[in-house]
Amino acid sequence: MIKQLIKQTLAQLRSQRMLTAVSIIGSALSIFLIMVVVMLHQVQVAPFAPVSNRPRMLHADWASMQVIDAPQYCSNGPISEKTAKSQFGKLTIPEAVTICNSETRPANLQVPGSKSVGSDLRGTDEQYWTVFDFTFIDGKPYNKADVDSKLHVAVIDRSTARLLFGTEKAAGREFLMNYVPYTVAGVVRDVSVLADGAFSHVWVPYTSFDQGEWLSNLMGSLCVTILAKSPDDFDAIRAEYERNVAEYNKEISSTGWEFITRNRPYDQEKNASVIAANLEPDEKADRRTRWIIYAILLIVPAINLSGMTESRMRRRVEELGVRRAFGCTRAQLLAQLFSENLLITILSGLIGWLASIGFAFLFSNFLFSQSYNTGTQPFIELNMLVQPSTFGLAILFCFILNFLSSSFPAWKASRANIVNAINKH
Amino acid sequence: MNQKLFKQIRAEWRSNVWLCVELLIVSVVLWYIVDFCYVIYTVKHRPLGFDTEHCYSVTLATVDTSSPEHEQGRDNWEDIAADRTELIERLRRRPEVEAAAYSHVSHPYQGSNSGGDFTIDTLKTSGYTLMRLIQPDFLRVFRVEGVDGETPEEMAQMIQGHSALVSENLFDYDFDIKDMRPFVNKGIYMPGDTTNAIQVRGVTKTFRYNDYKQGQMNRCVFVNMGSLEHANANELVVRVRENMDKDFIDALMADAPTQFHIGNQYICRVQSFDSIKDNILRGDRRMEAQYIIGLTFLLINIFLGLLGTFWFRTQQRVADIAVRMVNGATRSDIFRLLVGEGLLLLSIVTPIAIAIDVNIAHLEFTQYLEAKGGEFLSAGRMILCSGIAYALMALMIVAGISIPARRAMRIAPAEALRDE
Repeated sequence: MIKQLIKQTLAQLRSQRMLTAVSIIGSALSIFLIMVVVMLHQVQVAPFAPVSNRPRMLHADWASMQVIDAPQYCSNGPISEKTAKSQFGKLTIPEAVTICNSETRPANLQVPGSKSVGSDLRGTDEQYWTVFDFTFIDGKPYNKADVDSKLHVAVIDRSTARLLFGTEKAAGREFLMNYVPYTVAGVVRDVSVLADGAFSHVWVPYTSFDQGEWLSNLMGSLCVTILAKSPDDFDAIRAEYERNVAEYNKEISSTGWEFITRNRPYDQEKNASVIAANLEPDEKADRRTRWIIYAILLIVPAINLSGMTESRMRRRVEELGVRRAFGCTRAQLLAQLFSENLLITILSGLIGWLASIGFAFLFSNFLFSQSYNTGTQPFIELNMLVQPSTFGLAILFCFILNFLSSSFPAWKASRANIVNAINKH
Repeated sequence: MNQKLFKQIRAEWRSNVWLCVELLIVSVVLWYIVDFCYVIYTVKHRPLGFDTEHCYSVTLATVDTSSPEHEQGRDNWEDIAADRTELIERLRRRPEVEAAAYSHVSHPYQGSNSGGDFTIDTLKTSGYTLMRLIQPDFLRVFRVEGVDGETPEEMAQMIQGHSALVSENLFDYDFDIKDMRPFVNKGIYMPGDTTNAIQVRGVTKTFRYNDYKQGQMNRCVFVNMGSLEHANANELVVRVRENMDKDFIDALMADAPTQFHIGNQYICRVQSFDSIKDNILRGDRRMEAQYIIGLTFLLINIFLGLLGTFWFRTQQRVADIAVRMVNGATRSDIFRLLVGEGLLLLSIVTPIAIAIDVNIAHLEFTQYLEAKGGEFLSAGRMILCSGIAYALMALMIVAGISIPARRAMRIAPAEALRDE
């Protein structure tokens, strides 16, 4: 049956080369563009090393406070160590909770006696290396004892190791960071800026340098990423967090400030929609915009393709009439025309999907770049783009496109009067 | 001729309805994108009021107390100011440096802003006006010119001492005042201050926020920061001479540990304004690129759609065309007939499309453009953008139809009519 179908379709394709080429290019183009839009969103939410655990992550990049007596005065931003530990350190449900700098800061690196280089630095705790799955090329991460004793140890990425020491086997070597001596504990593979909280060139215990705190030491420069055991725990974690915040607010009431949660911490999708610290993101509006774009990208070519499918059908009216005369039912005919078109659409969908991956690689610079970053260009790896879900979506869009463009002409063709059809009217 | 076309269209009305629906949808979407690009293009090509080419930002830092190189007792404001003054003087002595200045949240292309509402006489700006707290040479670094064509050097002279410069559009938004020159030599009050006026010494050309931003963020007041001891300067900006702008960052970073580590002050890193600008504008540029990709996509789609439809149509009409040729129609007549049909369909659809366009613009779903005669909808903009959309569609129609039409033209009538 399927063999028959493929044979028929191929014969069809050969007999109408021009129309076939046009419809394949048309639908490939449509799938191509839709997949580019999908990828733009996917790199923000899809898991890839070192953020392979994104589906289980919750983010509290910023926190919000207001004056108890005058709630119109509020302060939003990264938090202090004390706040982070009281609100998040006590959580019992998650697998791990990491406290780290919410943004990288400029760092000056230097091997004594040679020239200095500007770089990016992020202070973290030891849980950071559990929440994010970095690939260590040399050495190992720093541990809890190192963080607690404010040890000057650092993890650096491969390109920094090469730049400073000329080798990636740099564990144990010493360098100056902002004129303070640090020892390399480990070397990791380079991280793309697309991995948001995991990105940096140099990581050190956040206790090893001055973090800067303000507003009665409630706010600071830290943020929190939570790794849940499973996404089902998200609500329970948020509830536990709300309780911690309520308790903490009692503790700090003498300052005149209280924390409000704005429904934090956010999951990956909601976090990707964050615009500013003082606004709760509207991930539903973002999702709506995306689906409107998909719809326009599907409907315009669908109208196009259905015009062409209709043309193809009209050339085959005779054939269809003959088959009907010999007892083929309308349903059978409809099913066949539909699957014939599906086969063409899937073929072109595959072309479009592959083209979109190639395109994403070639133009990763402007496609995936984020504004207000530190100046590092994002790099793209195949595993960020080729996700099972992306492929699933590609197939789904192929199906919708095919359904939109071929169901009406196929239905019309199957309903034609037999006598008229054979008579070529 | 036209009657013939109408008849022809009516005869094929089924597939023409399809085509019309497609042309209509695409016309509207295409106009929307053209309009979007028009706004971006217009805003982007307005003068910036500054020049960041050959400019660099130098990030300074203070040696941490935990460093063995930390100098005890040099962390008071007087010492820091003295060290930073020495540092910038050494920078100015480098032959490739044309100008260097400290400033505070002032250089173009950044996410941070400092400002509020300023008052001159009884006129107070509302919303938010940027304050650029600068040393005079800041104007030379970014080549800020005066409204009467004064050079950056002259402007830098004007803002010596305790004084301020205002941008020409300072009162434009609130009071529709286009000429700020009458306010020169009057006192301007800083945000939140009602007692100490600073003298306005001149008017600069509009110093825009960035290449894409419109509105009130494009106005500003330059204030001389005065002594470094009292000022919280977080920026050091440098202009390098055009003919010597080569490997400036590497050269400076190489000398940084020895020549630019003064007291506890040192150069942490140097970034070119080209890269700072790229980072800040990346989001806007990506948006722009995405719309242009969308535009191309729609155009290719129209081309393919018309190609497919007319391919089939001319195949069906072989006999019809042959009869015409037998009766004396030339090849170019046939070509014109086919292309004319497509263009006529487009022309039928266009008024409906424009009606929809006007409504969309009227509902302010289009992009805001700071302009006289309407921010969302103006006759000129509508005519221009729908005209461009029409021309692009027409181009695709001619391209899409001409391939099958060319084939139709080559028919040998005798061959085609053999069946009759």
